[in-house]
Amino acid sequence: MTDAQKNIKQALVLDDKDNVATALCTLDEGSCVDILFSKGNHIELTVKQEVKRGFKISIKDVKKGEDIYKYGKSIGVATKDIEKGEVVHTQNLASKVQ
Amino acid sequence: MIKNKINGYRRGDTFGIRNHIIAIASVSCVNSFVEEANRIDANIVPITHPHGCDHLGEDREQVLRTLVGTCNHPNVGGVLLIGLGCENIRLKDISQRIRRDNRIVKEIMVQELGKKDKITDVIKKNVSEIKEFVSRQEKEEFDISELIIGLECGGSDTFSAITANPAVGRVSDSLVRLGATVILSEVPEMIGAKDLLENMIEDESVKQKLFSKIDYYVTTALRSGNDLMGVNPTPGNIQAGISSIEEKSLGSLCKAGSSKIQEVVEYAERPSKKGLVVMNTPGNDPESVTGMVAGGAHVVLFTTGLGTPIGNPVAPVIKIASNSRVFDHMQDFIDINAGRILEQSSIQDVAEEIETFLIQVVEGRKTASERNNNREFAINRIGITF
Repeated sequence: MTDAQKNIKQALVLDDKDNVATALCTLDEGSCVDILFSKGNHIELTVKQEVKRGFKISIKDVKKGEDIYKYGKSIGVATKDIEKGEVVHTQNLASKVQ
Repeated sequence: MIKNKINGYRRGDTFGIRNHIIAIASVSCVNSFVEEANRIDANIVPITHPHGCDHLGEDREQVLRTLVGTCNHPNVGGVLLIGLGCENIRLKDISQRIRRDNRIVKEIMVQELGKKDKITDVIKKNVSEIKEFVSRQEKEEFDISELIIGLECGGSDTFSAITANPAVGRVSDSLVRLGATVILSEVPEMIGAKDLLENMIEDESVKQKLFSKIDYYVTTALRSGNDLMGVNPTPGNIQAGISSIEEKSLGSLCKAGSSKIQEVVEYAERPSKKGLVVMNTPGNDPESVTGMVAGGAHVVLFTTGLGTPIGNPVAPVIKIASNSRVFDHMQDFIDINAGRILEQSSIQDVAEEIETFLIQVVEGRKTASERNNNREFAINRIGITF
């Protein structure tokens, strides 16, 4: 059974303060994806590159130096400008602690 | 929905949700007699361990505190304490600290009895007396604020942080609102999370105490050439999508919910405050669960992504899977599937399911760990054996 047949959600935002969603299954480059928020509302977003299961995509445009929020808290800062729909990971996010 | 009033066994100034009879060794040398007690009567919960002698200072204190805390646990109605006679953690050291409020304690000293047949006879006689006493105990109503709930994550995967842990976080918030105590543990998982923890603490002395516990793990690891700050997140974490140590720590910390941390207690030390507290336990699951229960945790909420069967001899461990794959694969050992959050359910749906199940477990329903007799018991050591 495919993920779609099992009704697996595509991406989840954990807190209203977050600017990233986490992919719950692999999202194909260029596909239009349903992003679900914890209160039940959702938005649609075009994914700019392939996103692997468990990875993050930006749901807003983020400027270099701004915080990336997940769980309603900062998980680091953007090291480059990030466009809505781009993958957010070690290539464009840096820890504020290390 | 969490009820305010539940039923349990009064034990002095507190309540238990089980009425266990345990046979426990003061020292590893007498483990076989604990096992014999369980063979004589399968209802006797056997607790064996590799410690009890040749410990010094704080290490000895910690082992003693864990053994005493386990015997004194509100879920325990009867104790068969078995010792050798010459051990450094003497039977009397443990026995005199066990409260006898609605609890019976019997002692056996192997060196005193000597002969194998005599020891067996004395075990049988004591088991009989304990069972008789415990069978007369009855439940009373008590308030949910008397409950202490331990939190643990083990065998985590990427989804633990998205499904099971956030759901448990909502349950933690509910429990704290009702006046209960929730124990957050596994201090090594807090390495790199000082900024996050700072926002969870109002009392400066609580913050300093917690930070010193975190620093202890970092410096101890460095002494053996391991930089725990440097290799976090691990290459495995990064391959799985975790981008920073903050993200990794939050993924674990979110199971504690949004409350402020009231107190930091030592391993196996009973919390003195209500609300969210931190216990100084290692990341090692059996040791961490043993410590929280010895400190009084009536029940443990345990999230897992890869699947782990561990339980505890005296407290029910509620196992919550982070994904449906592991829930199906290891269904015999897991109680709740938070993986539904990836499919049809919301985090709130699963949080409510956990709360409902928790109340059922408190009222007597057995967890998978209890049905399977998963009774892992491991004491955290802070010194060498001499």
